[in-house]
Amino acid sequence: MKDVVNPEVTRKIAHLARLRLNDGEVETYTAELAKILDFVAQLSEVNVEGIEPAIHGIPLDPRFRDDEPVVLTEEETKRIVACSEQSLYEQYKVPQVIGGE
Amino acid sequence: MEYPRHLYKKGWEWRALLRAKKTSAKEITAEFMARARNDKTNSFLTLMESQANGMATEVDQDMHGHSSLAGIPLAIKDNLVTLGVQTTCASKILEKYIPPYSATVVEKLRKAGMVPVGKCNMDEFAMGSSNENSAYGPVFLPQDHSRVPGGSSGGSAASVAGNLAVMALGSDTGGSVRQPASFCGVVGMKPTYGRVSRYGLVAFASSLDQVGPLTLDAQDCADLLENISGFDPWDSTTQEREVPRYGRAVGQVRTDAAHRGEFLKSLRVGVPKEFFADGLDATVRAQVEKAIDALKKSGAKIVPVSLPHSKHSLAVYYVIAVSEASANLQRYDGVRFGPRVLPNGQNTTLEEMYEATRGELFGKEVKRRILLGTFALSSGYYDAYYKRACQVRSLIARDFSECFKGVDVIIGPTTPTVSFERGSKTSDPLSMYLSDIYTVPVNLAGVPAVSMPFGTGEKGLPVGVQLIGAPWQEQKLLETAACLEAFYDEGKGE
Repeated sequence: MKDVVNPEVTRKIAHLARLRLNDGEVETYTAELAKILDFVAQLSEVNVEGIEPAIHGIPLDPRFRDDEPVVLTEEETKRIVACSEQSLYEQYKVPQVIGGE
Repeated sequence: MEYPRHLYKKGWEWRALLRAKKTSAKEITAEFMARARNDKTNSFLTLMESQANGMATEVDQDMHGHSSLAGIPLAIKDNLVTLGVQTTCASKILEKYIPPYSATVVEKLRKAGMVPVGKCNMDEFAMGSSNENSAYGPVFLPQDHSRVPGGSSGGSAASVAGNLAVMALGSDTGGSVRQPASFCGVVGMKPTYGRVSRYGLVAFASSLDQVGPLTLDAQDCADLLENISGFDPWDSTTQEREVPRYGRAVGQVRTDAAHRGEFLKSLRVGVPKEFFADGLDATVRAQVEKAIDALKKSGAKIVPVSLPHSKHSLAVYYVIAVSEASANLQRYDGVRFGPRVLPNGQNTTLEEMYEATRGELFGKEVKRRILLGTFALSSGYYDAYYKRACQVRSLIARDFSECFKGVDVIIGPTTPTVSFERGSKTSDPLSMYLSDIYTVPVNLAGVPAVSMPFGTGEKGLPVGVQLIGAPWQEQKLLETAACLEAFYDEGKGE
């Protein structure tokens, strides 16, 4: 289970996570991740044959609400969109997505 | 040693004064706000002066008459959203974020008439054990400013220990309420997973997170827990179970020595050998042993137990928590909340904005955990890391349920050491993670646990004793904690 983490792997996962890292960070994180994964490698020693993976520690009985649409008031919509740094006509504004080079 | 609970008035003492009209909510609020404004421990990120004054007026007009918490000053961890009040999670990525709603627990306590002093400093996104990961500077241990208050609910614990609030709300994913409670000499509880609503708690690791009280003593902890517990239609993991009258039950143990004796005679206390292994500071061990001894002499049955898989808890935790975090933190991309970073001005693409915003505005520890979680969940590694960790989690949870067939509570240390010096563990993430070695198994198993101060260790700093219970047995933990407080005050802990 021990994996070699190298700068290329760190760059790849940083891209998957949409995190811009500078070269110094790539170097530091590569070393730290290797150390932590080395520590985590102890899990390969545990016999887990036939053991169900636990999503929670205790049995839970989830209660779901009916999936009913909620219509927000104008005031509520404004308050939510106001959390964004850039909005227009009560919508979020983002850099151009379609039609670039 | 004088603990915060010996130095300052507890919530139930303030309540008595208020009911006897010997003080007013306005007077209490003015006193606490003045101290919070002059705080030297950096416990608060935002003060809630106008909301506090407004609430004090309501309480003095008797608008919250029946509530046991009316007029009591409350500090709120900054990862619980508050309508109209900045909520940052101590991160630059949520700077100036003003939530359009309040967390269920915040709303419940508002209805109960608690006076909100402010929003507490913490480790960024609750990731840390020393409060040194805050983007707005560290919190200092009130008893010694060169040391850490613990984390991640460091500001919550320090505000109670420094008498800047009477009670506080924190959140506990791997020990984030209990570990700072232990360092600061206050009581801190992680309830059973599903006991308290997480609606409005900014998600870190959703299968582990739980909101918990930080207070001066067990009585206050019981009163606060009673007021925040219960089913919430906005959190599907909260359970429809009756909430016991924790306050009344603990009150009886606290005030009635005969009742205490009866309670202890039927109490079975498990001592797990794994919690007393290498790495446990001798002065911490000595205090926990004194607590065990005091329980034994008072008639409790002490039973050696074993949690054989708990030694793998940290490894399991650092796969599961980071995996869940990497998914939960995807939402911070500069679009819907927080500031944006546009490296090429108007010509910045959407992708560049995501990467620059997240790369620049998340702190070091948060980025480390996102990377680790993204790795553990990535194609080709999922089975070896995430799935296997979840399987070992099953074994850890099973160890606890086996133990609770024969005992009512498990006792051990909360942390391996007392509070450490600032800067002493920041360069080595693994050594920092080790300070949660006794608290993490509890979150993985979903069971409740409380940390309570019991004497002092190295350098005269507080030591926390941890009591762990079977699912939904918070009351037994709080009653046992109240017994230990009585023992300590009778001189059995020194």
